[in-house]
Amino acid sequence: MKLNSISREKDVTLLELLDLILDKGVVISGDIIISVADVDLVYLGLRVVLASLDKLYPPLDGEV
Amino acid sequence: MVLGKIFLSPFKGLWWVFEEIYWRVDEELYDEGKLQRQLLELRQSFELGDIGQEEYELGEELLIARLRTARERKLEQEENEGEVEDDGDDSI
Amino acid sequence: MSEKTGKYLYCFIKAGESEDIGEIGPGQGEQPVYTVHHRDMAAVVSDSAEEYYDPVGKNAMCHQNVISAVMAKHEVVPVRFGVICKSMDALNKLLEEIYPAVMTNLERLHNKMEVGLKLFWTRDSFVKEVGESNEEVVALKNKIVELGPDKGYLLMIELGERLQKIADEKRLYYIENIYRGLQKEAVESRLNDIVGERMVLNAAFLVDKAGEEQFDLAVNRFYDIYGRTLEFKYTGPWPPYNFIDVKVD
Repeated sequence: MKLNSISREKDVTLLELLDLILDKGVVISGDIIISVADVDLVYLGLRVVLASLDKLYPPLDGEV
Repeated sequence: MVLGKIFLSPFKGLWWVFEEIYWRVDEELYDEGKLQRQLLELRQSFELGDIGQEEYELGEELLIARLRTARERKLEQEENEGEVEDDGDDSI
Repeated sequence: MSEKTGKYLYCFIKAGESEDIGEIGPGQGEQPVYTVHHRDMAAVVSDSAEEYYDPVGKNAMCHQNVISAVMAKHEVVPVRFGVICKSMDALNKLLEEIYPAVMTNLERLHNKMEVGLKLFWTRDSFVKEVGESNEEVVALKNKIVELGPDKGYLLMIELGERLQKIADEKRLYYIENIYRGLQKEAVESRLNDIVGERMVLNAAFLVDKAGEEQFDLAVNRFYDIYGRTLEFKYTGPWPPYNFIDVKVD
């Protein structure tokens, strides 16, 4: 059994796009640019993390 | 059910949650590169059908908000740079 | 718009005369997009009142749409998403500084195109090739089922680590076979980071336009072999994001 051939997809998915444009291409930093690239580590409390996780992951079935 | 999630939808699964809690806790939460990466992973889970629209939108909102915070903090940090010299504490 | 307004950057091209690309600028995609010139090079920009754009669908598509429109007529050196020059003065300063690097890249990329290949495990093949790949992980999985998620969570972490190791080994196999095979047909190639555990391969290839068909055939040869277990996402032509080597600090 032979598979049909594949051709290049013309429909751009957001995943493809983000994977390309977020960290590839010409990189410019310094005084002339407004945006800041490559943000350093910023510290924040554990409580915030847990709060965010809670938002993202509502309690599993059966848990209170 | 939980195992199904582990294998098929790690983003949703406990595995991912534990990873997040134990290894990423706060130190890298607002790292722009990592946030972008999470955004990609979230988008991929959605496009592969591992998570639904609602979960995707919730996750996107959170990550976009974190990205904004990361940027704001960076800008603040740059504004203060003239006054406070970097003490090099953030080296690993 | 004033000289002080921010200039959102899309890409650089080789061009002598100024051009209007259309009113497809940043954010809502209604701002005029135009060229700003330095010698025989131009930056494609639009005025931007915003200082920051969220990396969401609307903004990302806008960035891409402008570059696509430009690509219909020019070869481009694409800029990463969200770069905004502070003013026209700043942009002119940038153009002068970046000129040699852009021209070198344009020359290197002349008559070439980027295509992308992402491979994924299907749900079934992920379970078969990774999740249940050996007796140890199956036993571990069964143990966790027995203990439940509360008592078994440490084991779950262990299982996660093991699965990750197995997946990485399998990925190496596919890199050796598929990526190395396609590499021979391309001018240049890039192996990018995996996004999520179901991704097997994330690659970009720079292909000679004359060899476009040949490369498609090569991809199809691998599709014939692996297309039943792996999902192929073959896309392009893209702006040559992966093959740009321009950095200004």
